[in-house]
Amino acid sequence: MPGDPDLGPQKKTAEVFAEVAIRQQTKAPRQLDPALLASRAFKEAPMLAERVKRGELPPVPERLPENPLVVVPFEEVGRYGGTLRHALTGDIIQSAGVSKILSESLMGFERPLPRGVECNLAEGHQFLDEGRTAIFKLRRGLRWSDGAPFTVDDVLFYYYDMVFNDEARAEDMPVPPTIWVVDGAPIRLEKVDDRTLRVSSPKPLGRVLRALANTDNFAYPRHVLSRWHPKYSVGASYADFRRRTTGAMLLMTPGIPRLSAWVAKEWVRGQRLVYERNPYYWKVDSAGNQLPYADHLVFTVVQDPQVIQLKFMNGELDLFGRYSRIDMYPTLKAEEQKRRFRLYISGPFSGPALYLNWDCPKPALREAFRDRRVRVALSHAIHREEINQTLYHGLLEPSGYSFGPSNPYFSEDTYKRYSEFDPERARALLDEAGYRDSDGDGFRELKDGSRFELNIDVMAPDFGRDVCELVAEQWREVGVKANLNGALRDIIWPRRLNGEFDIHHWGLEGPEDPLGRLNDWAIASPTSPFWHRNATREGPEWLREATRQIELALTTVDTAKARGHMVRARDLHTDHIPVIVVGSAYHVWGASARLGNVPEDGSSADVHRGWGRSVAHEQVYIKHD
Amino acid sequence: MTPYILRRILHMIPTLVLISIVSFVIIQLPPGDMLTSFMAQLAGQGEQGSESAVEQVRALRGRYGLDDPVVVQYFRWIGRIALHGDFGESFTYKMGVLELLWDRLGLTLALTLSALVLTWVIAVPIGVYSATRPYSVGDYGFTFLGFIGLATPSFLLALILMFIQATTFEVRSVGGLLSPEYIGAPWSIDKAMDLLAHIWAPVVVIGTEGTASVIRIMRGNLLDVLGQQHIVTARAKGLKEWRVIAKYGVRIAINPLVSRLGLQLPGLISGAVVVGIVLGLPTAGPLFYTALTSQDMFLAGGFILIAATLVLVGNLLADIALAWLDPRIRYE
Repeated sequence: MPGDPDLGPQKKTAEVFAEVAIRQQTKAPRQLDPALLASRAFKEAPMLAERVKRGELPPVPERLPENPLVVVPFEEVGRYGGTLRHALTGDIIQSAGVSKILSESLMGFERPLPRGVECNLAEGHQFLDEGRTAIFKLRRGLRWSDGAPFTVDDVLFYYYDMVFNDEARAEDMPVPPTIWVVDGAPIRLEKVDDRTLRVSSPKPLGRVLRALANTDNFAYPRHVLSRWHPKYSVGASYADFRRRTTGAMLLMTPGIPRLSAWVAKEWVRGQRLVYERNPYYWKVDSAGNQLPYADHLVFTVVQDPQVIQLKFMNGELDLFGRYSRIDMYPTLKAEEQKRRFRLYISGPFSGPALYLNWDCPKPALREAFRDRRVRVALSHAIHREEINQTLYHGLLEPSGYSFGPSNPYFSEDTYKRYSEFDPERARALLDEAGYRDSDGDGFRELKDGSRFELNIDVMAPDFGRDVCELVAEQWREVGVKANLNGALRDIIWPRRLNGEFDIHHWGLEGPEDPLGRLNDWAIASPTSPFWHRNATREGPEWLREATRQIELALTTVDTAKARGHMVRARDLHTDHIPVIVVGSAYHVWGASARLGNVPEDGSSADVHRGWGRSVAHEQVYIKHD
Repeated sequence: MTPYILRRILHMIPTLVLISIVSFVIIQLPPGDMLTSFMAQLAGQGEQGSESAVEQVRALRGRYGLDDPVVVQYFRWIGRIALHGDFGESFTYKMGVLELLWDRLGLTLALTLSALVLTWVIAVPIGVYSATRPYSVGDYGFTFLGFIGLATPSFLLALILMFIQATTFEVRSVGGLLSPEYIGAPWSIDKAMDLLAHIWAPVVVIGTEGTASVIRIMRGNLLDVLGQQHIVTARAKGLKEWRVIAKYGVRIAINPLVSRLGLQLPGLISGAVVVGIVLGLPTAGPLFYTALTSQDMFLAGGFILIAATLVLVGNLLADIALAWLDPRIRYE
């Protein structure tokens, strides 16, 4: 195989993610026949074969790289043709729904379950100099969807001319991603040759594989975009460049070359997006067919998630997962019997969490929140099983504040700690901490003599209000008066940003991979974590220590050491329980019965690029209409 | 009549200035701004990444001039509109505000006008019937139906209609005004047929919403008018009953409905927000709703301004129509 021998194609990094049994058995060949690869007898979609016949495209062996990425389909070798139909509640504002499906970076999370990081556009990587340098080798012969060669220059253009250029950086990326900054300076990227990229930093690059896998796109077509970049073209303006290069514009504007399975063909603003197969896509199935199987990928804009559900049940949409909610489960389950679609349950993933404000503007409440006994008591006072049965139809796994089951540093013990319902213990702890009901009104008093009363900020109406209502009721049972402050996201969110809340309800941020959500698990900036904005000044010792451990994990390539640091960080967090978690929620999603190669399982965690990535659309095919 | 119209138009100018100020203040009222809302949206999609939202918002605020005093921001905004007709760009859609509205205007008008016609076609005859046979079984029956229509939230009716469409009739495409394959396609006979196949549902939903009040107004007015002396005179002269009612009764009783029509002009553009969202209609209402919730300043502000202007224009038109219809109105 081409490529330097010392870099030979590597399947996975040494990092081992939690083992989850895969239920699905594929009938497709487990690997590509080497003879087929040597003869380059690849097959292609009929619609492309026609274009080749007309002389519009070079034949398929010339369009594919020397060693295309081989995808083993989840069930079987599929057939070409047809359209995969999705819906979005908006176009530009929901661009993540498209980009997670179409993302192609140098590295990528394994699918359907993100148990490791795999090679993608890169065919191999190697760490040098104790991990301070990493070399990435791109596949030879990769091309953009317009046929232009894809090289390291495109990566550097994105990194230096788009991300780390304060004037050019697009509107949707106000500050450069911190994961690429070490000690205040960007990690260095250099070109060794057209297909060799050198990444270097003063500290070991423990983070680099995950950072690459977590970035939807790590290169943009320099030959097209440089036209609008003032550094490369006279008369271009940065304002114009910033507008043109937001993630959404690059993703949705027809004519921007991509590396993804489908490229934008038509965009009716606010209504519909049509993507067409990329003739230069660089993946084949294990039988040598160029992917993707489906000719088109279409997104229709439907503002109301309930209508999306209805359209899915009516067979107008093929996949339903981005907007599915637990409360839709009963209806979906009933309709599933008509066998037009199948339901899948994956997880559990991040679930409802109550973020206590460690810098709450009310001094007495702040003091209470900073008392570990109070936090443990509030956690024990929640009857998680009741919430599970009443609101989640059994699809909520009661759990406490720790790393999630799909995290490599997960432990069952920390995951369940302080999550059992024990109101007696809660009362005892609150008594012990000195919060007693001294005036006999049924509610405890804070240290300044006022009632132990707090407000829970919750997005009304769709997300979490019902959970918070039950929690509030259960807290009242132990003498803590909880009120709900339900309002639109746009009212609640500024309160969160400005630290003006008592308790903020939201999904727990990134328990599947805290390293992808540094700002919520460590003191990563002067105003983070949002639940303790003054942590830089007043942060407790354990949080500083956890931050140190996380930083150490990011700057080592020794997986055993990284594990040690992350386990320390996990234990510190769980022991001090800064956030009260209600549980982990399962994700219900569905796929039309006409589709083949739909994965039985998947990850819906955003840090792993979500449900859209797990489904691996390029190998999904349409069995019948 | 011309001086009357001119005077009315002149009066509109100070009102418009006031409206522009109010609309700008309204969009500034809620806490936060389009940037915090934008960050919230990103977070809702899990796209916030590991960046601190506070720092991201701070970086963006400078770029958009949101740190300037509100007065400065107001004059910058209204200056562009007054001098260049430039309503600015929508933050969420990344398109000019006028262009966005214009795109949706055609279908919006088609929908709301048909709904309006439906309302009148149903409601006026029923109103006349009820007024001419007050307290009869028919009158009570229609009143009852009308109130049920009034009491049913239209979004619920829309959802039920769609649910029936999807589960019982298993139609090809639920909601929307066009099947997906016709969206963005050039107009053709097939596309028009497809539009007709879809548009009836929203027309029925929006149309029935207004019928009850029109029935009540028509019935009440006509009942009043029918009791008046000129009706007695007309009957005494031996005119046929339908002529008495049509020419001497309805002709007068319909005037309040005409002035109501003027008020409905802005509704034609921005109306049926909730139904629009539920049915997934590519009309202007849902656009306005998103603009408000995402605090998309220029889009929401532009929208309020245009809608308010339409109220004024609608009032003016209604007054002119009334002045022309009703000889009792004086121009002073």
